[in-house]
Formats: sequence, structure tokens, C-alpha cells
Amino acid sequence: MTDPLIAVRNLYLTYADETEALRNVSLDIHRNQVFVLFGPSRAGKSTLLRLFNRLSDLIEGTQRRGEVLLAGRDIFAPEVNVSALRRRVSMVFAVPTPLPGSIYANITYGLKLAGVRSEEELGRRVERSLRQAALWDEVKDRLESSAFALSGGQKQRLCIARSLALEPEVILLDNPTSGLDPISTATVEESLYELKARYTIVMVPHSVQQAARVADNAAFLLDGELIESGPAARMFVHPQDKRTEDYITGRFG
Amino acid sequence: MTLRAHFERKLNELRDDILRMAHLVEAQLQLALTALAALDAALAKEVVVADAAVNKARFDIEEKCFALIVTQQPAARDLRTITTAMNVIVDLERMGDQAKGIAKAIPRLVATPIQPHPPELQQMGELVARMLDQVMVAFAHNNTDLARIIARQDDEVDALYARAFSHIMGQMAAAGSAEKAEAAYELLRVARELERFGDLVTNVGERIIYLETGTLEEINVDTR
Ligand SMILES: Nc1ncnc2c1ncn2[C@@H]1O[C@H](COP(=O)(O)OP(=O)(O)O)[C@@H](O)[C@H]1O
Ligand SMILES: [Mg+2]
Repeated sequence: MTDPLIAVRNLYLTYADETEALRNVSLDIHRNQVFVLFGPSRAGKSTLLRLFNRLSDLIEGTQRRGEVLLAGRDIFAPEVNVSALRRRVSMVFAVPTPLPGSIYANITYGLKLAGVRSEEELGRRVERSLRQAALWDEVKDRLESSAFALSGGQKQRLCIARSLALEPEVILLDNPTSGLDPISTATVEESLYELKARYTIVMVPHSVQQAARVADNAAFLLDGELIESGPAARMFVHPQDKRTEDYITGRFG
Repeated sequence: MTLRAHFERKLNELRDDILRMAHLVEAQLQLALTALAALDAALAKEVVVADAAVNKARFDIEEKCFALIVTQQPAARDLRTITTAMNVIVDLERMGDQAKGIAKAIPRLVATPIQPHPPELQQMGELVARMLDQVMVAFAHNNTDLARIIARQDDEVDALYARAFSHIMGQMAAAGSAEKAEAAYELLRVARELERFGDLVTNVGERIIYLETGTLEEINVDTR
């Protein structure tokens, strides 16, 4: 097996109010797969996800122990450039958050911040990222119209496209289909399936069913601990731990 | 590749796995029939041992079905395809048990030969092997017409069984010793295994019709 793209080693995180959100979590995430973090609320899923691109730095007073390695390098090492890290590891949030302005502007905004100036290059990146997010065919004739006019599923795919434009390696998704109807949810899931050929996706799903549908590998978290992780086809058919079994079968959470 | 295309590829793999399992079962049957005709106890032993491979194929395929059900959450025809697969592999595994049952009768027939074996036994064997072959063609191509034709052939198996039965009863009545009578009884068991084999092939045919139409019809109602 190749080296993992993300390796979590004995990770602990405690918030300022002494909530132990993660306790001794270790796991490996390999390239070009959908890795799902699932478990009941307050399990620590979002906390772990936010650590992968150091969005966690924005929360005051947290204490962390243990390591997160990206391609073998400690992301908390002093020499790490945090904005460069966040370009490599990009977060898409639960609630789709398009920016005011056109569909086109939504995607070029981050690119311009990142120093891309040529209109030609901007146009190419817009098309490519919209195609990768499986949105191009639906919006190609109205790139100049407002992003707010899009449906929920389209907005979420636009946010995914916005991340993709910056050519990250890892896409982090925290419950990306939370407010979406089943059809929009399916389109987002479909785009994830297409994206993993190029990217590595780490996702918190909105349900166990979604976890089983989209995951190649999955990790079950409970009260800040990693209970078990492994290939989805095994996890959701033969969970090893009784707590995983009970959660998957809806006995708690 | 889209999600749908991925799922369809998985379903195709599942079908191929089942066709391979059916080939294994057919080989087991042919070997058991050869061992019976040649009274070859060593070959019979091989069939008994190789049954483990049939059982393993069934469990491996079943695992794949479980994984597809949880990860793809199939509905409608997709769901029927997977439940059909799960039923077909159980029938195939039992056909494998039937072949093993034939093989297990052989040592006693080697120790105490009964001559001649009723010709209906090999005839039934050839017929059920052909039926299995055809039902797999029907399965591979979702051919319900073929599935119905196979069911009619099962009547022929039953008729052959009835003839073999009276033949063997005659042999049992004429047996001069307890050993001879017991050996003749083994022949009767062989006939019974073959008749069951035909029923199981018919079950598979019913499953194919169910998959296509969504209704479970008994395509061969036992009138005896
Ligand atoms: N910014 C924060 N400050 C203090 N506690 C927090 C903060 N964020 C999350 N927590 C606590 O950490 C635990 C894990 O939360 P979270 O990572 O959001 O879990 P999940 O995403 O699995 O629902 C919870 O007990 C939660 O209340
Ligand atoms: Mg959360």
C-alpha cells in the first residue's frame, strides 16, 4: 500500500472550556478516495475536519497534541505557510455560501486573490472547475447571472467548483448536503464520485445511509474517540465494534 | 465513469461471478456422473472435497451482494437483481450438494456392485446438466421464454425418475442379501439427488421470471 496522503497520529484536541473533542485519534487517508467521518453529533467530526487545514487555529484557547501529516509532513510545523496549506486542503461548508455577484465572479474571486490575472486563464479555470463539479452543463449559458438564483444543489456544487478552481489536493466537506432535497443530494453525491479521480475527499455525511453510499473508507467517531475505521463495504456490512453496529442500525444517535 | 455506470459494472461482475459458480457446479455434476459410471471411488472423493469450493463461491458472492445493498441502496429492478442473485446462489450451492450426494453413494456401489445401473440415471444426469447450462444462458440474457422451456424439461426429469424408481425397486426386491439391498438403495438416492437437481434448476428459472416481471410464478407445479 502507498503512503497515506493524510496521516493522523495520536491526536488530542481540547477546547478552551476543557471539552475533550478528540482523544487519541489515529487514522490514514489515502489518495483518490472518499473518506467519510461519521458518528453522532458532538463526536468530534467537524473538529477533526477543521484540523486538516488548520481552520482550528481560528478558535482561541484550544490545546492540541499529536500529529497530522500531509504527504508525510507535519502540518503544524512552524515553517508551514497556512494559506498555502488551505489552498492544498480546501473546505466546503454545510450551508452553501455563494458570494454576491455572478456565477463567474464566484469562481474567479479566489483565483484573483491567488494572483491569477489573465482573463483567458480565469475563463479556462472557471470552465474546468464547473465541469469537475458537474455543474457546467447547467450554467454555461448564464455565467453572468447571479449565483443566488441557483438551486440549493447547484449552489453547493458552485461552492465545490470554487474550491476546485484553486486546484487543491484535498477537499473537506462538512455535511455538504444538509439542506438539500434528495435530487440535489444525488447530484452532489454524483459529483463527489467523479471528483475522486483527481482529488482526495474527506467528508462528514448527513446520515449513515449517505456514508455507506459515498464512502470508500470510513471512520466511526464517538465522544472524541475513533471506534473503528476501514473499507466501507466491510464497515457497513460487518462492523467490528458493537458501538458501531448499534449506531449504524439506529440504536442510538 | 458515473455512479450509475459504476453500479452497473458491479452488477455485471456479480452476474459473471454467478456464471462462474454455475460452471463449477456443472463440473461437479459431470465428475460425479463419470465417477458413477466408472465406479471410480477416488474421483468420487475428489467431488466431495471440491464441494468446499462451491460453498466458498456462494459465500463470496453473498458478501458482494451485502456490500452492494448497503453501499448502493438499490430499489426496484436493481433490488430484484440482487435478491435474485442471492436466491440463485443458494440454489446453485444446493445443486453442488446434490452432486456431492451422488459422489457419496459411490463407495458403497464400488464395494457391492449392482448391475446394471438403470439407464435413466445417466439420462437424468445429462438432462439436468443441459438444463443448468440453459438456465444460465437464460440468466445471462434475462430470457424468460427460455426459463419457461427449461421448466417443461423438468417434467421429463420427473418421468425418468419414475422409471428409475420402479427399476431400482425391482432390483431391491430381487437383492439376495442385505448388502445388495443397501447398495440398490444407494442407487435410489442417486436418482433422488438428480430429481432434486432438476427442481433446483427450475427454481432458478422462476427467479429469472421474477426478475423480469416482478411476479413470482410457479412455472412447474408438481402434480404428483
Ligand atoms: N469552538 C468550540 N468551542 C468549544 N467547544 C466546541 C467548539 N466546537 C466544538 N466544540 C465541542 O467539541 C465537541 C465536538 O464537536 P464537533 O467537532 O462539532 O462534533 P461533531 O461535528 O461530530 O458534531 C462537542 O462537545 C462540541 O460541543
Ligand atoms: Mg459537525
